[in-house]
Amino acid sequence: MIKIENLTFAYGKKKPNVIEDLSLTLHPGAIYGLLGKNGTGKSTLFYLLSGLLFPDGGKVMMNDINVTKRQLGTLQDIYILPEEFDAPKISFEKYVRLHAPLYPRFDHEQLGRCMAEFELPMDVDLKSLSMGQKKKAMLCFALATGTRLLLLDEPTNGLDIPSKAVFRRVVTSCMNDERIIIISTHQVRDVEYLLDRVILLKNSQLHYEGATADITERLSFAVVPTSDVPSTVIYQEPNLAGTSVVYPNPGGEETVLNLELFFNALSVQPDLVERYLKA
Amino acid sequence: MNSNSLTRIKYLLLQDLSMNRKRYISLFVGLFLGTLMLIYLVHPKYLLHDGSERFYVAVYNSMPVFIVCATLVFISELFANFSTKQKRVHQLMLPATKGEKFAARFLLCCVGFPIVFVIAIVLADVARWILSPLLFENTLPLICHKLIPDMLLKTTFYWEGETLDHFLFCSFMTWIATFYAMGSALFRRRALLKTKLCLMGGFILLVLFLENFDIPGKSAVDDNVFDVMRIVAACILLVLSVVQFCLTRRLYNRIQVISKQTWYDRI
Repeated sequence: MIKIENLTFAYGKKKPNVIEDLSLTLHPGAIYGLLGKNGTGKSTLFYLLSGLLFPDGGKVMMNDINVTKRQLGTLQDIYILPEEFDAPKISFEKYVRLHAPLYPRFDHEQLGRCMAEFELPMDVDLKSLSMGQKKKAMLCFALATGTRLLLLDEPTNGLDIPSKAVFRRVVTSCMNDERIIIISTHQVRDVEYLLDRVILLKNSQLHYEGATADITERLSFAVVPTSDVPSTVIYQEPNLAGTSVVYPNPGGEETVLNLELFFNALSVQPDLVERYLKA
Repeated sequence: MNSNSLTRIKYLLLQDLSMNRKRYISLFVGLFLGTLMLIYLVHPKYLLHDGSERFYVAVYNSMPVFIVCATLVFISELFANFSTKQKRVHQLMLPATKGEKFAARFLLCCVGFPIVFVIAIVLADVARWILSPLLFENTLPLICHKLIPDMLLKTTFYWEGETLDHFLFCSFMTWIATFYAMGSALFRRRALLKTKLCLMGGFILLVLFLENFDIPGKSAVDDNVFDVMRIVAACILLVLSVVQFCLTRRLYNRIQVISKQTWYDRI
């Protein structure tokens, strides 16, 4: 379990807080989506969660240990795949041989399955790969480490369209009751069917945190002809096919989550959306 | 330290060597060419009249400066694997203790690099011996088989000067080594150059400051007073070394993926 308590951080004493008084508990067995506009602190939160940055206030506790202590046990249980990384100029097989022994729960079979799904050979030379292929290889490694906390920053950036579906498949297959996966992304359509819970950041603070099941139980998302917009609509925006709308779902009917629409609705009509979510 | 620690240190070392091999190969080639140049600069004037013994002495006397410079380069490399953001993420997130990560880096920079340096000296001498007949009419014999043991044993264990001078010299070298280690932790990128500039700046300020005082030379003071001055200077340097070592350790423990703007924030 990860406990974030009153987390505050700024890049310098005279700079504004990038994260302000954020408190949150992350439970294992869930895939979290971390959303927010540019500059709202998503990557900063990742660095704070992994102990790569020291907060100015508050703390992040993983299994009751402060992550900033960078203890061996904590480091063996966290893996972060940043948006930009330096792929080393060695073969992937060699990279695995050098790094896998440091992760006690590393699963070589899982790695083999992921690489096969992405159609990449194990002995591929990392320096000869395109950016998207490097990302696939490092994603496979990240999923195979078996760490209890996995942080993926924009994991689908650079992936081709078929690989995005493969990504969803492999992430689901690597999920278990002990693991927390947090995906930070602007490409919400790539991951919206994957997420169990959503964290939204706005103005350096936690704007919303909840289960995707709760959202779809209370709100409906649809694209309707412009003349047929429901009277109970909470939020609407024009669409090439008509109008995208968010409206209450009092009957709890099954509905498909549109994360982009939900994000926009929450940004524009936060009070209204939150009222229906809490109902 | 248990066997798991040793295993992790082994993997950390192997990773470092594999992922930075181009850089380390360049370092080795630089040391080889530097030594070869040094030997060749000294070499020609001893070719005539069988100057092999004087050639050996000339090379032996030139080596200390070269060794000190090379040692400072090695120490400045201690924290080079934290020089970019991507490298910091990789290094900080490696599942090993801070001590193990530092031990791996220390073994590489302060043990591995000097061994590579010795190999470079041997190869440079062999290259000189092979190439000399092509460039000159005759050649001087190999000296590396005598040079290496003499450098290691005589310089470390034999001292022909006074004990207090030896103590002062060792304190000074300890101070300068910890200063460069601190520079490596503080600057990380182009640490050698920046540390050198800080040192030069510090010495200039010290000289300007000392100009205000009338410091007597050795001949103007009593031998006992001069001995006390040397002991005090050596002790000050040792204390400064300890302070610098502690600061280096603190800087290392507080490395973050994104550097805060001021050095004060880092400490």
